[in-house]
Amino acid sequence: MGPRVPVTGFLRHCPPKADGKATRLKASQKTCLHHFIAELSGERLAGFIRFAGALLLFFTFLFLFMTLLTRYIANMGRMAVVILTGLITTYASAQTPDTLNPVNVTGTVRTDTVLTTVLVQRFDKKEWIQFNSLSVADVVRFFAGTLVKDYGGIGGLKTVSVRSIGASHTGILYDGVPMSDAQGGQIDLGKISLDNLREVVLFNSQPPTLLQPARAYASAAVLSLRTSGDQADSTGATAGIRAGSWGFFNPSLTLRHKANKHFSQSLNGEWQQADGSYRFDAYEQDGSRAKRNNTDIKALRAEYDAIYRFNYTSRINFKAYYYSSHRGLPGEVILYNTRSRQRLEDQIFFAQAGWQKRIALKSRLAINAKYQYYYNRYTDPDFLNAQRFLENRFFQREGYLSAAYTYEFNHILSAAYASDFTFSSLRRSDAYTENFPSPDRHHFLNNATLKARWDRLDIQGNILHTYLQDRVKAGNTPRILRAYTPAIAASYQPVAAWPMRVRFFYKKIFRVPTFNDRYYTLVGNTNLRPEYVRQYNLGVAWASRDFSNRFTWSASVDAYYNYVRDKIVAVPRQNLFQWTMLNVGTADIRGIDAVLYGNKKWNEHWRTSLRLSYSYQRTLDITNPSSPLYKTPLPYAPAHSGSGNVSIYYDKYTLGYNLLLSSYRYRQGEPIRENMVEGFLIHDVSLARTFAYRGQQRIRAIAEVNNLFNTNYEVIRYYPMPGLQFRVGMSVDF
Amino acid sequence: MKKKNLLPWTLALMVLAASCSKDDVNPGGPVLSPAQGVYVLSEGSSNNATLGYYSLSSNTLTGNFYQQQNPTQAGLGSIGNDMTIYGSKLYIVVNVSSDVVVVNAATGTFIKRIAFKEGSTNKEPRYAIGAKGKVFVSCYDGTVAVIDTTSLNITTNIPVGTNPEEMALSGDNLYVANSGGLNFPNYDSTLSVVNVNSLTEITKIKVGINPQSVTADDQGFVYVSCTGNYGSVPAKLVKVKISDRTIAKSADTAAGRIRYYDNKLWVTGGYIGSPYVRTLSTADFSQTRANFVTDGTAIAMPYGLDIDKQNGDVYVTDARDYVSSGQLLCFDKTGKKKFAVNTTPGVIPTKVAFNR
Repeated sequence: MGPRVPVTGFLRHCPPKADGKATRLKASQKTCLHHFIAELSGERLAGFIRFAGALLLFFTFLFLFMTLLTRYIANMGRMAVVILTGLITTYASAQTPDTLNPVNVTGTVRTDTVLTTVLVQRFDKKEWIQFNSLSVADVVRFFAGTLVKDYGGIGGLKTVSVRSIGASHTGILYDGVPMSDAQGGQIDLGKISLDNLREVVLFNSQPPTLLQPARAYASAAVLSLRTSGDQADSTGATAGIRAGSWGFFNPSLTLRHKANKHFSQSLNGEWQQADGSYRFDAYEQDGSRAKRNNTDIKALRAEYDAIYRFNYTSRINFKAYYYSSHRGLPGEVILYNTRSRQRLEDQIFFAQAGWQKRIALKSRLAINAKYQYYYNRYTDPDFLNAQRFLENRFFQREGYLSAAYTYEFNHILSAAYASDFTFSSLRRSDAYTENFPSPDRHHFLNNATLKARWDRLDIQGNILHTYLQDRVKAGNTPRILRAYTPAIAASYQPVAAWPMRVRFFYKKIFRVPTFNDRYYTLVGNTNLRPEYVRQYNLGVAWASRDFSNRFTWSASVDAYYNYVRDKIVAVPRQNLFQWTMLNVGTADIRGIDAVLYGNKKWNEHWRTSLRLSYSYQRTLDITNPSSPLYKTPLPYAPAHSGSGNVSIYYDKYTLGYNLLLSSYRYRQGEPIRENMVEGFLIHDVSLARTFAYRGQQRIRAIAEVNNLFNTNYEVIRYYPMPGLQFRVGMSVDF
Repeated sequence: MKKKNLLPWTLALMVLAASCSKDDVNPGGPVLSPAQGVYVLSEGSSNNATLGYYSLSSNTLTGNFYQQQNPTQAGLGSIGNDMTIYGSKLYIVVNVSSDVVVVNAATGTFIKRIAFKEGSTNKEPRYAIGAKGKVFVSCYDGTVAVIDTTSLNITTNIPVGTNPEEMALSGDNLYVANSGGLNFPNYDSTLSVVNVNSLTEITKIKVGINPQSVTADDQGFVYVSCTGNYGSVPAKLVKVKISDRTIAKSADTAAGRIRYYDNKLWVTGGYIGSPYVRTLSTADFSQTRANFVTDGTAIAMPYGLDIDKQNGDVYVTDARDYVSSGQLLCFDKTGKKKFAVNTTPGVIPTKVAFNR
């Protein structure tokens, strides 16, 4: 009996949560709005009131917010006018741009991201612009300890697992506000473009900052993405275009407007398309080549940002984000069968607003709110049901409110409290709507942090409380989840004269079962427990203190131990029509992450920078002592992996060389030859130069050669990766 | 298996192969010769359908027998669902690759890969059974495809119900379980009766929701396991009287694979999963043995079930956790273990065929 799931293709397409999810709409958009309006009816509001206790704190902050808001009502009025007059009118006036020098790469070692209590890895735009980088996934794979599960090509699913804990344990912050996918639990990093980002930072455990939402504490690792939205410190525009192998075409445009010292806004839009039908070494016959089918993608993204600074102590920012894509799902290469016609459409919209306020000298307040709408549609015209067509349409909505408050008792001790509420819902509208549980989730997080900071010792501890309740319209209602989870982190400088810190962290956290885990038709299991992970880390970091900027370097080595229990996995029942989700995995993960960074300015013409990362890990499946898998490596976890980035700057030229390596891995199953996935070593090179335009270096051109040696490799078995490819790009600042 | 052991029996098989090249099968009461070895087919997870061979003379398993005998072939393909030996050939049904791979039943050497396509659409073959010089293959596209055993081409596609699964032969008729599994939530609930001479569907018998496994006895009855809808409609076991096509008996009991031997039904646990193979009375489905294993041998997840009708040996495949290599277990008919062997690298072993 074949592993077939009647309802959707998701299990058939291997990457369970994500591939089978579908995407985008047009005619159906209206219907969706109707659904949404219905959602906001009183019935749901009544449900909220029961949680009034936990909301109380929230309302207090809101009240405070409103009170303060009225004080600035005049400013608000002005802001509204500016928004209304819009960008276009202001552009007509074509103000003189401020100095913008794209080659001004400073490349200094940032001690604030090295001598931290947890491992923090960071790339900024100036660095990744030299990589083969389109999406966040392309940057994250260069971090130590990450495994980007890349299913190949521009449209292929890409998720990141940090230290082999699993992709669902990685939290993602977009301008400080959590992004989430309550349905599948894993965000496809391939859908997050780098075009509007200025910084990508990966925190093991959690960011050590105090003023942040409670959700920032609720993952095993946090990937923080910062956009350029709040960087409109001038009025101007940037137009860019890129093109490359396999029909890749990617124009983008950013408009920036600084109205006055209070208000600025920006609008960024991007179009991506590719046919993506690259060639790879055929599996059926040695020496022959085959072509990926059904790999086309078209994606549109638009982002609007506005920021209003009342004065030095208070600011409001607003963001609206829209993404829509339509793509083929090539799926895994199936031997002797090249047919592939599944499609995915998706549409993501979110709007988020934040307000930050310094109250007196000692306390700060941050309030964030977000609304998110996510639609996906998956179709399979080869599905052998009566209609010969499978369609899955899902709608996800999420409302999010967060308030965070910090207070500094004295120069040593400070405290923070954050309270988050997330409401998420999942609906479907297809042939399988009947009996669908249509779950609603109420998720409360409250976190208290205490931080003590002496000259040579930092200690930070927090405790997070989770309350999670799902309500369903059909089937079993899962138990309410209540949990307290702690984390502690410390760093110590043993020798006052050395810029070196020894650090330690411990964190216990879990991931909650996603909507798919609990309610996937015929597959979901409402009895699932959360998947727990305990992390221990001991490391040492060194950052040089050469403030002359001639030569700076930093290095860190961290050893860790992770213990994951109650892993949520899809397990087939007796007949493979029927899968179910179970808590059946236990994993023991030990490893070392090492990062080295150096930057040397030779003279006024020449500068070089080097970044190396290396990870060793030993992962063990310790689920069942009587299983052949007992004490074997986890699927796709390589023992050795690493990356290197070298940049050579000479006046207007930048030469970039990047390399990515992984030792062999095993796909799911025993560590035998048949399950082995070979290691790889991939080289990319790029050459960029800037040109003057109207007196300044405003034009930047880049040529990339990626996978220089045309290496045929796989990250995931039977998902061949692209070979040699070329890309050229140009951007102009106006 | 060590090479030393392999050579003698390979030669023996080749001699045997030469002696039985015709695809005629004794239509009367089968007089079976003892099996020399058994083939075991594993579904695999993706692109790793695996054919192993267990030699009953040397008591060793060659896990990747197909690959060893056919080093120039890339592999069987994705999801080995079923196989049957008919005449001198072994027909291996590869579901997701949508092929039937034909190999020499004695040597395992590749003969032909028959593509199961309708236009450019995959037919997705599921199960195979031989009769009247033909091999019948149920396909998810709602047909039973007929392979001519000399030309090794599909000559006819017989329309049946939705997503047909297992088939059983009784007399000149084939009983095809129409599951409708891909048509959730509107499952099929019929058994198609297909005449193997006229190559047409004669009628459909309503048996119960989501029929999957089917077997025939030698007393004019066919047994069908109906899986239900995994929810409100429970799994059922149904006995059909062939002469008047009526339901002779129906009971709410979950059965995965059902086999008939020695006036009993042998059944695995069905979709709920059970570590036991039970035996049931054919008359009233009462349980004659809750676990046919009598020597305490544990099976984690009984998956495939086949009985050597020559000597009554019961072969059970253990899918274990569905991700690591499975196990092939052989018991005598009293439930005492004769041998157990890992099917490495075969994952989810599902079917055993006897090389006689």
